[in-house]
Amino acid sequence: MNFLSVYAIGNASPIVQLLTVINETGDKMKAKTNLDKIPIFRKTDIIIIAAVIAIAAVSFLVAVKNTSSANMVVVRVNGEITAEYPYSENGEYEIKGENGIELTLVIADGVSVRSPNCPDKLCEKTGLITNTSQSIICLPGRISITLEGDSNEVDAVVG
Amino acid sequence: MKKSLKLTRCALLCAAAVVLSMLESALPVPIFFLPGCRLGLANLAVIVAIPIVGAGGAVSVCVVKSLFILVARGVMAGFMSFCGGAVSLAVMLLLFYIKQFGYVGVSIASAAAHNTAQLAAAALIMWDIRVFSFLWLYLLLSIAAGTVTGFVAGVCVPPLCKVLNTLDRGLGSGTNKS
Repeated sequence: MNFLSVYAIGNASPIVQLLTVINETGDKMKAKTNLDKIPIFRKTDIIIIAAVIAIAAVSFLVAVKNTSSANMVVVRVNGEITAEYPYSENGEYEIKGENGIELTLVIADGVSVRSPNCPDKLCEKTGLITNTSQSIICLPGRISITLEGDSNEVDAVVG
Repeated sequence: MKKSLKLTRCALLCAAAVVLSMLESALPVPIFFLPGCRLGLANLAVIVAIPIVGAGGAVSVCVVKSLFILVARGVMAGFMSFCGGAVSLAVMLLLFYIKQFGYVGVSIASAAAHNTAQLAAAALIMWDIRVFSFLWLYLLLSIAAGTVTGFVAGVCVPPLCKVLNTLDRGLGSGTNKS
């Protein structure tokens, strides 16, 4: 691999040596095997497909087992967390927001809001929320109620 | 094989790999939300490289492909591509030299290894093991993608090898005569 030695410092560079060794062993292996006589599909390929499916099934089961849905009810006022409650315990909590808005947070097989003193009562009309993608927002009181937990959501995978 | 011949063929295959990966990133992502879900067309160049220029040439094609992605799409993508490429190439070489599997099988195994290694790299970068919760989906997709690339490689390689071998013989006799 002479063309690589242009970029490395002389032929004695360990990278070039390594590449030369890889190259030579590759050539030897290639001489021993007739790679152009390999068929497109062999019966043994089914083993590979089965193995991949088996690994996929195992990882699916593991992923499903580790998926814990919402486990915290997070209350934010003006974007700052003011209170957190466990999702699994039923209860009722008073929440005070901006502009004198007060509401009652009800946790019972889901999260809902009762008796807000705001004019539009949108938060009450939102009803029951049960998973992490939902939220209850009270605009006049600047309150947001979200469910959070060890979700499996990935923001981005690059490549 | 003569060194200059091998160098030219490596360069051609590197160019093919780069073009294929460009082409692939230009295509829209077909499957709903999964990021980085592509056919793995660039791996096709690596699979084709092994019978034509041997393991050393395939390593160089793989490295050039990763370098291209490093330049074009940044350090993170380059690192992930390098991880995926290295692992899938290792699996490919192993399965090729075991000589028990066809192109489709080798291709599927290498695609699965590529995806797993990329997820591992992503998990390493983000330091978050939950990345692996998508592994099953990536593995199932790698069966589909591997079948396609393996089929294409299986169709392409034998005639290509035949042509190149006759070319080599012609060149060899030519140099002997002169």
